[in-house]
Amino acid sequence: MNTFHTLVVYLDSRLASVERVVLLLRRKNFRVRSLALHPAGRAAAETQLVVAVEGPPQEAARLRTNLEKLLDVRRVVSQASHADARCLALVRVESGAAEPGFVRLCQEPGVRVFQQEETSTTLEITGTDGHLDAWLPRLAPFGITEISRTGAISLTAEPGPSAALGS
Amino acid sequence: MATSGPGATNLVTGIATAMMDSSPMVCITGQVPTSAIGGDAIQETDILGITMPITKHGYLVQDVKELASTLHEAFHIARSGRPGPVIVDLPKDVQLATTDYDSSASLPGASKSLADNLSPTELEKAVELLKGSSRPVILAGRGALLAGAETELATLVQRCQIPVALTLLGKGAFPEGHPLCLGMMGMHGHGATNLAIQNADLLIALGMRFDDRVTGDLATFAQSSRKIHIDLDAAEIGKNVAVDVGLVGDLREVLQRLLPSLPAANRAPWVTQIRTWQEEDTERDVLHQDTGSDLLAVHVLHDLWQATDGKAVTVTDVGQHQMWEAQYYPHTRPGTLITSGGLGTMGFALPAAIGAKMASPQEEVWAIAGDGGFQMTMSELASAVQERVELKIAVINNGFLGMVRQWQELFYGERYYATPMLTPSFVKLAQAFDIPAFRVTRRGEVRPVVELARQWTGGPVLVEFAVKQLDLVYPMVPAGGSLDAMIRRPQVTAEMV
Repeated sequence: MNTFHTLVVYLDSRLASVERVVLLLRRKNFRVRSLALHPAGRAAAETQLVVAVEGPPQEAARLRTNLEKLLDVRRVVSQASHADARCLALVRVESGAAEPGFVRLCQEPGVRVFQQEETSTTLEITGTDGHLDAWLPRLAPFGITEISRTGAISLTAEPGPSAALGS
Repeated sequence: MATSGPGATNLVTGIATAMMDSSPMVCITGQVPTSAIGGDAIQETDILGITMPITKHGYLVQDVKELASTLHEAFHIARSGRPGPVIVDLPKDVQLATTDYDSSASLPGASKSLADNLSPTELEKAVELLKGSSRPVILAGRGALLAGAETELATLVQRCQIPVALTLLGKGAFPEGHPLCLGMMGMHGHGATNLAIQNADLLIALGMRFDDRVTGDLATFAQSSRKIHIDLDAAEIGKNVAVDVGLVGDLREVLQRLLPSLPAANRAPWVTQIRTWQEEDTERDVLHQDTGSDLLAVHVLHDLWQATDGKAVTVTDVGQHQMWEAQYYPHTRPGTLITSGGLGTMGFALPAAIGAKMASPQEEVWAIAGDGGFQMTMSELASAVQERVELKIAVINNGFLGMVRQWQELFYGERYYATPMLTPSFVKLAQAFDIPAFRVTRRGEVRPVVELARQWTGGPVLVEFAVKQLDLVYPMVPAGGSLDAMIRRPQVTAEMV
């Protein structure tokens, strides 16, 4: 049975290091759900790429062993559960701020009004991939005009460079 | 080393060939000046990007101060772990800049190595599987040669009496001619070898990757066997074939860890069974049949093997002759067969043989190519003459792109397209380069002409063998077919002669 797998990849911030990972995903025929890229910590030398792929249970191990062959990859952390990852979506709807049903939706956990304008409302929603997917049909009656979503991001169980940020 | 743009892109096929066969290679390419990168200057090509999927690593050097450490690192990466090609792209301004050379340049990215994940539990499981097997077969691939594990492999085979099948690139890892060596396996492997694999109760895969040409249909591949896979590359374990025990590490070291736990064994019934299958192969062998006056490619390769006492370094191209060489030129030493296995690059033989001879001038090196592949890189004859490379070149000329024609005959309703070849006179072609050349059309001429070629010094020599045009490589496992469902050579009848 296919499921989502999330891996956090720590890369040297060198020329073409991200390209190499992306090319590997294509070349080895992984089904990519999302990618999220950001600096891994204060040191500019490291980049964190969170990769979510869909596939059978052994897919995470296959991805990990292939990633570990890339010279720019410092380490790879497999997340035990895709449910530990979070995504963010910005959803603009045509109106609805005054409608009671819409107001109730905006009060649910993980949702807040990000921007209120005369003819539209933008909501900020956080949650798992599936959580975000479930939200969209609920907002459809209010007239969705634009959606922007991030890929999954995830903290790793192992202490890494990011964990030292506050010290 | 190649210049920018088309010079660099002309390396692409060679780089991909090296990647597929885990050959260490460092390519240094020219690039437009750093200030011009991205501006589509004359001969600007993103060779780093083009080669990214077919290299182990790559660099664009943007500061001459990074040059020494980059080159140190490139050579280290190309040769370490699972070897492969590395590209170093050098912009013109970096080439012309000067810097102080630091011979103690550190290797910032070179400390990365594949982890040695040997688990004592897995080692014990491997030992138990070996002890409990009555019909084991070793599958030895190029990894055995790259690891320099020939001695350990020989000890394992001898002590445990385990027959050894070889991949195309594994030839030389264990001496063919040894009673327990089964020769090549797979699509054009020996019949007995494939039958042994299919009937084994344990496969021990050493530095090989269960390529589709080796396994045939995965669903029917060696179904009754347990499997141990030892490889340096963790990504190879379970990639194509699920295994019972996967051991990741340097093959030589892993075997050294295993051997003390393995007692001597006698597997005479299994070896006898395989011997029976081998005798059936011998009966079918065209070498032992009357083929009249036909000169077959098989005759050429067998007689070349005899003439050179099996001691030459052969560099084959890709196609029918490559398979016949693998079947009829047994190799007994590591590194004596150089061929393009993974990518199957036609045109490989001549330039690779020039490199082999220059690297090992003491060896007798034969480039063996078909008429199709030879014409793809025959311009390198000029290089061989210019550098006075004492190379022997055998062109097996059947007037066809023979392997493709074979598939068209067997699997595509004899619809022959683009496979008949108009070939030049290879003798006249060679003579145009002042290369002595001979043409052989009869079996009896093979040995004397080969001897003439062997005695030639001072540069390359070429022999064209005009062989029977429509011969096929047997046995053949149809692509995607079961390994034991081989198409065998028909018995030669009087009418056929």
